[in-house]
Amino acid sequence: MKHWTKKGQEATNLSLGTIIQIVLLITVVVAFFSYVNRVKDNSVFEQSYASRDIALLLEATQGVPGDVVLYYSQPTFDVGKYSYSFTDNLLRIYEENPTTALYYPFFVDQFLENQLTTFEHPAAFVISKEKNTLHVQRFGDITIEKTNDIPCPAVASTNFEKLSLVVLASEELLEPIQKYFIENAKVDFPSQKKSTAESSITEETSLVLVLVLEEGSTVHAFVPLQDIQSEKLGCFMTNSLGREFPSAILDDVTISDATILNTNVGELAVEMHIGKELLDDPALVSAALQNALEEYYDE
Amino acid sequence: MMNKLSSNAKKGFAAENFLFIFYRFIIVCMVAFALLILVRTYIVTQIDIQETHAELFIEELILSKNGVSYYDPTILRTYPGIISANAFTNGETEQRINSAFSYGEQQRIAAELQLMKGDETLIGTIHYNKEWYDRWIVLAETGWIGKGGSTVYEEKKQILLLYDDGTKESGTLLIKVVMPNS
Repeated sequence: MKHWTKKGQEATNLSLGTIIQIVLLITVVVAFFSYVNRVKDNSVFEQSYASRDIALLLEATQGVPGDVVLYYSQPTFDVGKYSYSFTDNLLRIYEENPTTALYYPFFVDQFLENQLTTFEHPAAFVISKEKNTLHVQRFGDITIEKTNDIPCPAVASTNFEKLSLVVLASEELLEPIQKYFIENAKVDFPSQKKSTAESSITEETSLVLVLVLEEGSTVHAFVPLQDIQSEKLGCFMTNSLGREFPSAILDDVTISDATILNTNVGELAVEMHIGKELLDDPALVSAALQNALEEYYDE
Repeated sequence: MMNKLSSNAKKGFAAENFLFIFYRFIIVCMVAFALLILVRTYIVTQIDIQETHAELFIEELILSKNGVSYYDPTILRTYPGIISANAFTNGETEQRINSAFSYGEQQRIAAELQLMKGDETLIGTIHYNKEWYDRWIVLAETGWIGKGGSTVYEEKKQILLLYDDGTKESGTLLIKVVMPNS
């Protein structure tokens, strides 16, 4: 009995000892991993590296005999994470609070005019020494430009002949635009070969432009069957109107089997449906269509 | 007899435990030491660019328009490695480099430049940031390593001496750059 009690006591002592060891082990492991994670997340090293790197770059830039432009970005860390101050011969780098900035000194060439300031969280920045002036400025903020443009066929323009032009307008409201194309010398077609009559359309007509009035602010182009060049021109005209009138609703170019468009096979024909709301100033519409035409012919 | 045996057994058990604990302690110390070595070796906490900065400064002195090299103002061209002996000795070069490489109120670097002919005859000596050069060079010569000391970097450059009459002669430029260790 005494023997068994002793064994039980020893066993209890051993279990307690093992548990204490396991607890200590877990404590040490947790402490070690939390230290490693703290080192990994610490940005002090990055700031220190960046401050030295940029300061030396600034000095090297000033030492170059000629002009130099240097765009600074880093593959190893995000430049925009920090703010940069270039004042009092000190490059200060900080995340949010300037009082916790890490800094490194750099020299400033007194024979150069300098434009050194502070900027916060730049996407990248440019260091330049041009025409005796040292610049450090923010560069290339990433902005996403939203465009309304519809995608156009990626083909080269091939129909460059400007032998004859027919412009038809369905409504009185569109007549100023028709008049612009017929009378304006900027529209580079022989003046005697410009016409507003549907009967003038032949197989050799270089460009047939039909203007149709729509409700609202829609812009919609119709083009002949199997004619990618007309499709391209129609797309350019739609996009040009979209840029001129940001509130316009742009529809994709549509293929049409209308006879009026399919007469001058192999040449250009576009039927532009233009919303009434865009016709407050017909001159703007005319200019937009003219720009699209020039864009097509200039390619 | 039974009690005596029991007592001896107890002492033996205690001695064995003590020995075991002692070896355990040694192993724990070795593990801790190994961890310390790993952390010190692989986790970098300091970036030392002192030598790089000194070398960059030397190159800037040679290549920059406002450095020691001859600059032709009529064609706006610098001739790296060609030094006007007259400008070096009459103080013009010294004034120019002290103005051009201005750290403002920050004291970071100082230098001594000795211009010599091909046969090592000294032509002239100029200083960049003379006040702090005189202080730091003393510290550098003590050889003390650490934050309170300084380090001197020396470089010899082969250059061409340009005289006022247009003649050129080969020479040597000895540059000593001294920087504080902190």
